[in-house]
Amino acid sequence: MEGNRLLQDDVSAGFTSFVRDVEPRIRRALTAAFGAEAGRDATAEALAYGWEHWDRVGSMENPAGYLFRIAQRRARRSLGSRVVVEPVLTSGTDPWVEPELAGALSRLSERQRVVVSLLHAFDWSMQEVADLLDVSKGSVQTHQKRAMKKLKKELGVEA
Amino acid sequence: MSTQLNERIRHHYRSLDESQEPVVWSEVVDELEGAPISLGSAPGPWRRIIAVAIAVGVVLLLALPAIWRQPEDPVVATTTSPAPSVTALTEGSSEATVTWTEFDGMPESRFSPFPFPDGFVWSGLGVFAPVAPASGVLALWNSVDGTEWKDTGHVHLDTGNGVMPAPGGLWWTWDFSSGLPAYQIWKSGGDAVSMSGYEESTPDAPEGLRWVPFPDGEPVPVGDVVLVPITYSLRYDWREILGLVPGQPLASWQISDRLFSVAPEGASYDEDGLLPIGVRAVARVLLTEHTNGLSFTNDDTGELLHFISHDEEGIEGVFLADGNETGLRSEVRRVGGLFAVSSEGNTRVDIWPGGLSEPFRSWQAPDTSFDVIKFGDIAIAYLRIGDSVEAFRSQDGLEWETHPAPPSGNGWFQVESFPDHLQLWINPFTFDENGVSGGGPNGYFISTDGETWEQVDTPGDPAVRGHLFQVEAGWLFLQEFSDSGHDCCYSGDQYFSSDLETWLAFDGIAGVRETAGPAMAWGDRILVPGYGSNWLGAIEVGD
Repeated sequence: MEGNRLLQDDVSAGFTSFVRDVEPRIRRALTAAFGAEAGRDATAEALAYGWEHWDRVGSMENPAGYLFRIAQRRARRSLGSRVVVEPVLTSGTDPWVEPELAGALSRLSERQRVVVSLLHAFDWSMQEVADLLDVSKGSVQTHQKRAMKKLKKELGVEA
Repeated sequence: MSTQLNERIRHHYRSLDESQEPVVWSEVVDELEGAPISLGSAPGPWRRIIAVAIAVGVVLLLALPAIWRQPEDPVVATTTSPAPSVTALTEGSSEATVTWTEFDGMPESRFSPFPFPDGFVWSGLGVFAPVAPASGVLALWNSVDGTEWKDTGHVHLDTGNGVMPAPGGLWWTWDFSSGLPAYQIWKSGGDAVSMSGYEESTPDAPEGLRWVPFPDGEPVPVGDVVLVPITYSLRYDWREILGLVPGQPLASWQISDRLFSVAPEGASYDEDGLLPIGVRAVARVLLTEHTNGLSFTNDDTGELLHFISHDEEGIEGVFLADGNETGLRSEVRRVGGLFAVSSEGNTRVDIWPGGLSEPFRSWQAPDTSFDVIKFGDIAIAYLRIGDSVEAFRSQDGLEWETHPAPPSGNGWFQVESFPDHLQLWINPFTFDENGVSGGGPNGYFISTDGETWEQVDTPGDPAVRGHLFQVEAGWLFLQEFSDSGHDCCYSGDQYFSSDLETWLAFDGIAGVRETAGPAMAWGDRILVPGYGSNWLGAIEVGD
């Protein structure tokens, strides 16, 4: 009995540590893809799924990427083609607030938003983004280039 | 200004992040247990009882619709589409209207539409378990008008599956679970034959769409071909395993996706067996037993043409081999490592014994590819080795002669045949232990006589793979897809052109979701398969 409890504690500690590590990553990516509320809900669902199947998920090579895809599928299912990109609340004097940005981001593809967010806002490397999305680095680069080109065009920014 | 844009993006997402509470452990538990009853708060035995009660309740709830279903209820659901979206495209003086419709209601799946000669479109729909992505149920959907889709049957597959065309208006699916290949061969409008023990069809499926057991041991004529029932076991002689009896017509034995895929109806078969159209200028292909697997060799030259490796556990990998002057040529086909065999098929060298980082499931391979297409009355085989391509043509699949070679490039190389032209697409790539990645630039070529080629100037990212095809109404559709290391996902941009010069960008699909594979022209519509999110879409383009 004591042995089982210790084992369970170990598993629980392992998962807790995993959540601490990957939660911000998955949540930020999902927030960029689906908006703050849906992104956060999807993160909670994905982590719950991870805990339920921890014996398998924990031994995967890329558990964060796997859970991201689980969350992505569920969010797509519940949201359909609705995209929510929330504008940032501001005092009105912040020089870095671009009122048109939220609208322009919402017109990017889901993947383009995720790539732009993780690379430009959270300083991920191309490889880290590629790992989470389970795509090649070249693919990330393509999405990033296209997204920035589209944003510049929409916002009237010189190339 | 670009720096400012970066800062604004950074500010936008960081502000959102700061205003967002992280998901904590207690929320994960709540998510699992669900409100309002928290199992965590119930004492020992009650906790179990509540859990069982909840489970029973859920099962009952899920079962109720089936219990209540009246016999006259339709067994198959007709999918419906939400309101189509219409996009106007303009560039210069060219303009078009694109209508994008999604068919919703199909189970979450991988979806591939297939054309059928009598006007049906069959769809292989694999419902894949998350643990083993290539297992589950292959559902067969069909449509006669492209707007309504009905579920007509299911096939259980354990590993590896798909639907491929076979001669005589047949289709077949396969399964390599546990090293025991199993096949179903079926057709619509007449007989439906299952060659394996897996059969399950909806009871009310129309005549001709049901799966029926294959008579044990007796050849069965279906349409223009005769199917040979086979007892599947890797211990048997290979000829027997594959039913390759001298003089016996075969339905279709496509060991790899397209290697031997072109088998015209009524094709004659060589006395010694085998494949109606091989790949290369060979008259006959003999099947030989090999200690490490199954080899196909050219009996004239002794060259190894095709090799399936296996071990005690079953099929380990399928790969293409092509003998050449160096004596060694190897191609990986799927998981299990990259290895090479000699051109005689008697020496094996493990190159990456640990296997690739991702399953590499494309039939094409880095150094060699085969395309066999029919164009008018002739079949043309394209053999690419490195940067050079050789072409051969045949009218009967037996006698082959040299054909003018098309443009070449080391990478993805694909020829497709259309009623009035051939289309060639080349996309160089790099290959390493991580698999294949695009290296661009693309090259699209069109030939109207099958011999001379003209390059088409296409839009889009030159480093991204693409797929170009013609819609009945005259529009050409270019579909890009990024390389994600899997057969999923096509997620690039789409373009239309009516003259191959002006291209109208269409962002209606890529802007929403990834797609599972190449789109398919059907009349004046384009069907686009979804991936992982239960949808099939159709594009209609008009002036």
